[in-house]
Parts: sequence; structure tokens; C-alpha cells
Amino acid sequence: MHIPLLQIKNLTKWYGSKQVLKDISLDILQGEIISFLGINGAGKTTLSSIIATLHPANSGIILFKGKPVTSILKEYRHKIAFCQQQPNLTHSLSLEQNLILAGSYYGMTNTQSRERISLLKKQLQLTEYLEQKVSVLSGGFKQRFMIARSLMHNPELILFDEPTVALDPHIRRQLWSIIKELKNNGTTIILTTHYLDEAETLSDRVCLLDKGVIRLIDTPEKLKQDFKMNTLEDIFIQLTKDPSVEYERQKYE
Amino acid sequence: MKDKNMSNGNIFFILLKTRLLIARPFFIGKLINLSIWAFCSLFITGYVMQQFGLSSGFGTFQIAGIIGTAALFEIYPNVITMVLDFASAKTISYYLTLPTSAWIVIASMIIGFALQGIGLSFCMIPLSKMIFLHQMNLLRIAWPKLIITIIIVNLFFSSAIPAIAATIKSIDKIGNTWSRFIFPLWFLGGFQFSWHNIYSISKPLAYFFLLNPVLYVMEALRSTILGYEYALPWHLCITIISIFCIINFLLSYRQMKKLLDFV
Repeated sequence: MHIPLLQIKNLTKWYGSKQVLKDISLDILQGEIISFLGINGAGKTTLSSIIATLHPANSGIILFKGKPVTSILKEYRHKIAFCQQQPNLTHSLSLEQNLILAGSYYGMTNTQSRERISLLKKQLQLTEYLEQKVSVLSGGFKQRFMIARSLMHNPELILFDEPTVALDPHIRRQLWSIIKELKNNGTTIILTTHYLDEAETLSDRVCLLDKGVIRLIDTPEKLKQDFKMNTLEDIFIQLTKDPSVEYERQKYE
Repeated sequence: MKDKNMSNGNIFFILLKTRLLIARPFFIGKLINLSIWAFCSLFITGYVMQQFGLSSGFGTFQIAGIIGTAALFEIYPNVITMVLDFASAKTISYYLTLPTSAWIVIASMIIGFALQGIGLSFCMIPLSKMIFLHQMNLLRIAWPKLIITIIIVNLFFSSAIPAIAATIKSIDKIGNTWSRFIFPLWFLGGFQFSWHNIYSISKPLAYFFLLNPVLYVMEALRSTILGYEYALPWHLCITIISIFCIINFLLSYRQMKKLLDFV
């Protein structure tokens, strides 16, 4: 549990003259669920995108099992999946075609892909929509297909960027149980979310980002204990909104 | 069920297959649209305009322009599709995280667009023959050269699509790109005249027209369909179009990288 799968060292990112990530360093441990929390513009999605190698960092390094990801880019991308917030499935293809192609990109044969699909369609309750186009799906099912596509090649690390945003509460709960099941199967998960109850329920550790800086990283229980608060939400609100807790924050850090 | 590492070549072909699967349902519709335009254009110039003094051979002369335009007309809808994707669906973000390089993703898009254009361009030949049953001599066409030309011409236009889409960024500005950039290049690019026509009117103007890459497209097609006496040398045109293909591809990569900030 304490072996770092991913080591992020001194990562910075600029968009024009705005620095969105400032010297970010953290380890992602094998088999854990770590949540990135923060208000809009805190740098959560940017950090996820850089870890997913969608965007480059301006400086710093990410090590995957001790090797720089930039030097093993193809191998690294083979072992990760990035489930983006936007349901970016290919609309003019059926969902089954989307999934088969997703498998093909990672070297799976059609037979292997179909076997995997038959497993995932049960797990994610997708059977009735497989032959349909993306446009007929509700938000919840689009998200499930996004997860299914991410899981096609059985990745070691999955990055979920706000997977439950704008979903009904019961669908959110269903997706939570899927994420928990993935963790139980040994998959490492990075979860970017606005929902603090989600982070609290799912995460082994949470990482609070604020203006491109990591304010704190710890287990939800430890944070609640240290801040003497009942929920992560209380801690989050104080740390991101109330300047009067600056002293407490510094003391904690 | 452990997956194997894929070579860039394998992923390229799967990405290309994806492109063709995406394009397939729209191909017939595009062909119908283009055929209506080509039929109207050829029929009017080949039969009606003669009543106003236009040469009887002008219709067949324009076939090259029609084939070249079939390729060029693919730019507009594909740029719209790409700009919309950049703005909303962002499927490109998925492809850019696949275990391959961004070069492969962009190249597969360009070749995918080109294959659609090649299909449409070739369909213009039997259509032209049907319209000019007796005037169009299929035996006079240099077929191997025509095939090479259609392929390179389509690669040329297709390689410009990502560059244009990434440069204009917003769908609101696509009309400006068409009216201010693509349309003048096309209409002054020899769609309805040859470089020799311009040369006989004004030599300086003719040399100025050589700056327009679309002119080489039309001239290359015309030389394979009608012969050299009507057009610039085929080898020269193909060389210049190929150079522009490379420039477009590099520009596409650069503009997309600038817009999407990929690894």
C-alpha cells in the first residue's frame, strides 16, 4: 500500500502569464484512491491532465515506478486511463464500436475486446445500450460508458476527472461502488471532484489544491481529527474561504 | 487478456479505420451534394453558355476544375467538425492520450480526410463522362498520373484542415475564412481558366498567380486530363503541391499544439 506508483516532483504549469500549478510535489501510492479537491481554478484538472500526459508541464518531473514518464511515454500511456469530465465518446459510432476501438488502440484483438465488453457491460449495466449511438444516452449512462472505455485495457492507474458531476444522487452512488470495486481489484485511482462527500467516502487520502498549491494531503479521518471538524466540507470551506484560519492552516502545515 | 504494446504504425491504421467509420455514414450524402453542384456547373458551362459565345470545349476544360474543387470543398465541413470538437465534444483529447505520438493522431486525421476526398474526386470522373458523353475522351487521360494527382491534391487540401481549424478556433469565424481566404484562392486558382490564359493577358499577373498553390492543383489535373499544351508541366505542379503538403502538415501540428497544448 505504501509503494509510490507515481512520484510528482516540483511540477509547475503556466498558461500564458498565469501560473496554475506552483511547485507541486506528491506521491501517489499503489492501490490507493487519492482525491484532488479545490475550488474552480485551483489546478485540479490541470494536474490530472498533466499526469495523464494530455498536457506537458513547464517544469518538474513525474516518475512512474521510478522512471520519468516522458521517457516511457507509450508504455506509461498503456498503463493508465484518463476518464475526462466531458463525455468525449465518438458520437457517430455505436457504443460497442467505441469500446472495441478503445481496446484496439491498446493492442487488444476483437475477441479480447468482446470478452472484456461482456464483462464490463454486466459490471456497469450497459447491455441494452451497446448497439445505440452516444446521442441517445442520458448523462449517467454516458459517464458509465466513459468509465467502460477507460477500463477496456485494464489500466493500473485511472484518472477520473469529476466523474459524477451533474449526475443524479442514485447514479452517483452507483458510480461510487464501481470506483470502490476498482480499488478492491488493485487499481490506483486519482479522483478529481467538487463533491466533498464523494471524496470523504471514496478516498484513502485527499489532496487540497488552492491557487495551484497543495495546501494539505492526508487521510480524511486524520484531517477531521486535526482540524477538529466533523466533515471534509467544513475543513474545505475554512481553508479555501476564510482568511481567519490562515493561522490554523500554517500551524497544521 | 493482457494487451501487447502496439507500434505507431498499428495505432495509425486503427485511428484511420476510426476516421473512415466516422465518415462512412456521411459519404453518400456528400456525394449527392457534390454531384448536384458538379452537374449544374458542367451542364451550364458545357451546354448553355455556348449560346453566349463560350467555346464548345469549355465544359470539358472545366472537368479538372470540378475534380480539384471536389477535394477543396471537403475543407469546409471538416473544419467545422474539428472546430466544434475543439469547442465542445473534445474527442481529440481522448486520441491525444492514446499510447502513440500526437504526430500519428494528426496524420491519421489528415489521411482520413484525404481518403474521403479521393473517393469523392474519383466519383466526379464518371459523372463528367455522363454529362459529356461524346466530348470527353477517357483514352486521352493519363490515368496513372491522374491517380497520383488526385491522391496528392487531396492530401494537400486535407493537410490544411487541422491548421485552419486550430487557427480560427471559433465557429463564428469560419465564414470569414471561407470568404477571405479559401474562396479567392480557389476562384483565382484556375478553376475556370488555365495559367496560359492569364499569361496571354498579362505576364506579370501570370507570375503573380504562381504564388497560389491551388493553381498547381488545377494545372496538374488539367495536364493529365487534357495534355501539357493546356497546362503547366505536371512534374512541376506535383513537386510544388507535395512541398505545400509538408508545409501544411507542419503548420497543422504547430497550430494544434498551440491550441491544445498536447505532449
